[in-house]
Amino acid sequence: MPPLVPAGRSARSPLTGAPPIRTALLRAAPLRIALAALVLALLLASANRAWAQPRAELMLGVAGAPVADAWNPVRAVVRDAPGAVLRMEIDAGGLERGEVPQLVTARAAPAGGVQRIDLDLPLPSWRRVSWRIEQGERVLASGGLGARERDDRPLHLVVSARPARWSAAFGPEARVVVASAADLPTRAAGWDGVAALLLDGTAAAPADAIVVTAAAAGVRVLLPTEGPSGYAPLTRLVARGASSLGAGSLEGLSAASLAAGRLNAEPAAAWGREARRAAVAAGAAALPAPTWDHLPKLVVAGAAVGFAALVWTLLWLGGPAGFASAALVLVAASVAVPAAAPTDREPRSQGAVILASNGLGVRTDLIAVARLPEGASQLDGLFASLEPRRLGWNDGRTNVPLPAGGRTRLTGAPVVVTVPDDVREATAATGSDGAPEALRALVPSGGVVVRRENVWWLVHPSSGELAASARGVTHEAAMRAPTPVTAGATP
Amino acid sequence: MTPPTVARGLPRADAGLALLLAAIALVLVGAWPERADLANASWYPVAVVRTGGLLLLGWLAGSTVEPSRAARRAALLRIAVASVATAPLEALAFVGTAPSASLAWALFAPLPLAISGYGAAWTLSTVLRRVRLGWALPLASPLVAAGLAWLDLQIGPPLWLPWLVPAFPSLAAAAVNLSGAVVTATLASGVSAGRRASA
Repeated sequence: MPPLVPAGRSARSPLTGAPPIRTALLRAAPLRIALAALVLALLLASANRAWAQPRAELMLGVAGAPVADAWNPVRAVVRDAPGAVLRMEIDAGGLERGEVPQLVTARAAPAGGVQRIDLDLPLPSWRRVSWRIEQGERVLASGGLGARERDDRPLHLVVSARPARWSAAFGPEARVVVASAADLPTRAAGWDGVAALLLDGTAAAPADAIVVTAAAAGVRVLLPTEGPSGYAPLTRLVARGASSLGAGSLEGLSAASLAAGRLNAEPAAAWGREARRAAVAAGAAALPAPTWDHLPKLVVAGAAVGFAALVWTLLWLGGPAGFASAALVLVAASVAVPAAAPTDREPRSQGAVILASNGLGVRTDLIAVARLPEGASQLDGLFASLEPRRLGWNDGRTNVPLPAGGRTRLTGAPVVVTVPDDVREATAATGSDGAPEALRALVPSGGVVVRRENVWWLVHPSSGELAASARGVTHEAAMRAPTPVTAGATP
Repeated sequence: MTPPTVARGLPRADAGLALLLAAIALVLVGAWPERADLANASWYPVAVVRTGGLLLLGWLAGSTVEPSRAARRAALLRIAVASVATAPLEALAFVGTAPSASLAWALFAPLPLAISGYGAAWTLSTVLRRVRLGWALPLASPLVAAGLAWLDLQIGPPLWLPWLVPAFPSLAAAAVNLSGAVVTATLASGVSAGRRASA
């Protein structure tokens, strides 16, 4: 009788001498189990990572810090949610005004993968902001801001690897926010709520066009005069000292400032935020009011009295002849009545205010809208109201509900423009003659106000000499800005 | 100057129509904007004056109705003529104002409303006379009018109020006023009486 041995240990095939299949399986099992566990672990890790990533997220404001009463960049990112829709509801009301809803709707491209919705939104002084990103019936993400999170102080952005050094540089009241180069807005409207941008050369450098756009939009940009090689395009901008540019300025940080984490020089910004607002308000006030072409009152009076007297007399005379004559007068009057209709029921007038310095300016479009019948006026582009009112922004259009005979004035998003030659020449030739006092008061000594149709150029006396390299990127910054929006017919 | 006699039952202009035309023309001219930057809102007062004036004409005619069938028919015709004669003035105000309202409704809604008013006032005066309270008509008439206005305010879409009806077209108002106008015209012109007589 053969000895009893455990299967697979010593029992071999009598023909080949190889271990039997069962034995091979048992020997291979640990390896296979280990492999399967590894694959399972990888799958779980991958799935966990996928689950951990939100399907949609929203970034409101520069570096997630929204500023009330300013244009703010809004970026929504959706993953694998074709046709997702961003909906925001802003309550711009108050205790006296009650609820003033402003609604935003923007759609992502109807495609898979990662899709972005980028827009610049005029955030009012809100009581409540709520938002959600939805795809059909599903809500992918949602959130909101309450009144306690409202802050209308402009941002002081610090792009630094050691931001704590600069915490006291802008004063105790300043709203200092640490940002990275990737957080910085690329369009001028995104810089509306920013007062200063400080780069000390210790973090990754942003593109020079972004920095120039920031300065032109009214930001005090502080750059190192010396820095690593990545900062070379930026240090060249301040190689010849501080200079005004557009509505802002480019200033260098001295070695002493960099070492101490303090700003030694006074701000050289051409226009402060309040001055920019005052210029826009004055430009809006100077905008011609939209008008309707009503029939002259005298003509209406003559027609009404003549018609009434004639019809009454013919009916008083009576009889078939009088009745027929009155009927003819009625028919004639009915035919003539459409001539009293105004040709344009929704007249608009447009203009702009441009604050310029050193060849670059920031332009704010202005539009006055009037509406004879009650309803909503549609404007191409996003516009902000000068006073809190109901508004809607739908896929790049502004919806302005107005009562019968209502009118309002709106402002467009700031865009960077270059100063054309004819304005430079007019600057010296015509000066500020004929400009409204409210605008002239905003221009410092040596500056001028120039009018081109309904566009007011407030040209600051160029302080400092802009580096030659900056002149190259100014053009790029201007090209980056969206084309100024034209809204409907211009009278 | 004596006007020619009425031929073939055609109504003749009277003081009521003169007053209505003058009031509408006056309001139209007064409300028409003097400057191009002012919005034209002349239709709103003109529509109220025309609708209210026609309703008042109908109510007064119904309150002082004469017993003869011909007189009632003439009164209804006068209301219809007044409605047509004043329509171009309201149309002029309407196209100048360009409101978010219906021109057809604004022009045609006041006529059935005025005839219904005639019918309501006629019914009231007839009932009061039947119960020998005809002397109370000057008091009852404004009271009933006020009661109807209060009722209209309570029941949602405006049916009779002349300052609301032109700007708020509704199926309910059309149905109520057209039904009232048809019933009034049928009874006032004596169709039912004629049928009874022929039977």
